Amino acid sequence: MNKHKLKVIAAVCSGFLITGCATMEQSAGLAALGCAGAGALTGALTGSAGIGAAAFAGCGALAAIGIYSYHSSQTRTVQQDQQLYGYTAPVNSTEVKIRNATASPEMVRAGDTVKLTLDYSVMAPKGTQNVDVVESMVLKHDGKMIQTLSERPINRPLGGGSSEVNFTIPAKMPPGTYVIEQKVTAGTSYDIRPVVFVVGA
Amino acid sequence: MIFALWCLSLALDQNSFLHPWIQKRRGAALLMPFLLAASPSALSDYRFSPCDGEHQAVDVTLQRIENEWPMRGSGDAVSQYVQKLGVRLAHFSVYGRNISWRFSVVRNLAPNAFSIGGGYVFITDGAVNFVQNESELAAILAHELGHELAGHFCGAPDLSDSGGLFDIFSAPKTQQHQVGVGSMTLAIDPVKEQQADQIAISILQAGGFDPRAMLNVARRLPSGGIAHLMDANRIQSLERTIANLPPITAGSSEDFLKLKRSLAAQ
Repeated sequence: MNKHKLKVIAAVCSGFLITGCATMEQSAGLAALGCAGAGALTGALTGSAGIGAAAFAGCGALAAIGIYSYHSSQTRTVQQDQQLYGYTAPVNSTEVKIRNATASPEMVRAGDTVKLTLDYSVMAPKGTQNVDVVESMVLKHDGKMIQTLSERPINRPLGGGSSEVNFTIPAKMPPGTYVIEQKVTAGTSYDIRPVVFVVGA
Repeated sequence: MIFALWCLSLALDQNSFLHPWIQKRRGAALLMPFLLAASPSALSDYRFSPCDGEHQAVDVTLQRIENEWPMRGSGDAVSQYVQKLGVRLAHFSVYGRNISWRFSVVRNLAPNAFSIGGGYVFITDGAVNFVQNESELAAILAHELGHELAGHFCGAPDLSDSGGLFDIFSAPKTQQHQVGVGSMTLAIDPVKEQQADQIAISILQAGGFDPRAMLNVARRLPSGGIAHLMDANRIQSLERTIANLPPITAGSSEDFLKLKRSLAAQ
């Protein structure tokens, strides 16, 4: 493997680390790796301290948040989803709609764990069994994007789906009000729901 | 002022696109300028009644949309801009200013826009992305206003068979047909689409927007998909109408440019 390919792979890997092991469908107890880990790993893989430092710098000024655990599952069949939300299926085009999104607790301090939950419906034309969905979470502060916490492609059956993500508040996270935009995309349809948590001093 | 409004109402209704309430109550319509002259507050107190069964059909459709489609909230910057522009356009019609308009933005990247009656108009993120200037966005919204002002929701088919939506981006080559949106179906009638186009052009002119934007949108629509075919007759009709209009140079507002920048950044 030549050095260029290695650098590309390392960069991709560090990206996954930054976004919190995006390929894991279900995990528990995975330690938050943060930007320092990503940068160090990138540097080690490429043999270049500069590239590693660049990966670290890419994490932004805020100490990076690593996803502690991620769990995704189908919670409702199409029939259950229709009955609960009163929509008419089948539809003519793929649609996603977020039904609920939460962050708890809403008041946290460094070292605390925040649990994010997302519940949404996936609808698609008759004959469709599964739909490619992308779930993503973006951390914002004062209206500015700080970090993409997670971006996961998932092949979902139609009906109700949910995901649960846990992350730990880093020690260097400045106090203030933060917004996490939870987003679900399928085809041309997408939905966004912001959730808020406050980091205390 | 009252005379100007009266003239504008006549201009908008040049092809007898009178709201059905007015058609049913021509006497009241003819008396309107005099009523306004007698009481300056009469305009704000004047309310049009919906067509028979329109409220019921709208309520059913609204419920389905709420249950199925992801929407931008009313406090969202894109929603607020679209609402503001839509209401501004509606105020260039005497009848339009007496309807309680509600413009909503659907979170979907496919360009589309439609009205469901009762003053409810929907436009997708994709349509807002699609337009190149403010006149084009105004053209899309004005077309949807046109359906309402022309009374196209009066006698609309029962929603149990999924009719009752009108779509600017869709048109058949020959006769009326239907296009699926969500679990609902757009009723596409070339005659009604052309009527809405004509009203839209009048509104655009009155509002100082370039009516050629209507044609530009129609010509740029992607071809190949049945949901996005623009009837050649409709384009020719637009070309004939617009050819006789004086040119209007209309720039885009700073609010519009800001909106486009924020959408591009998302």
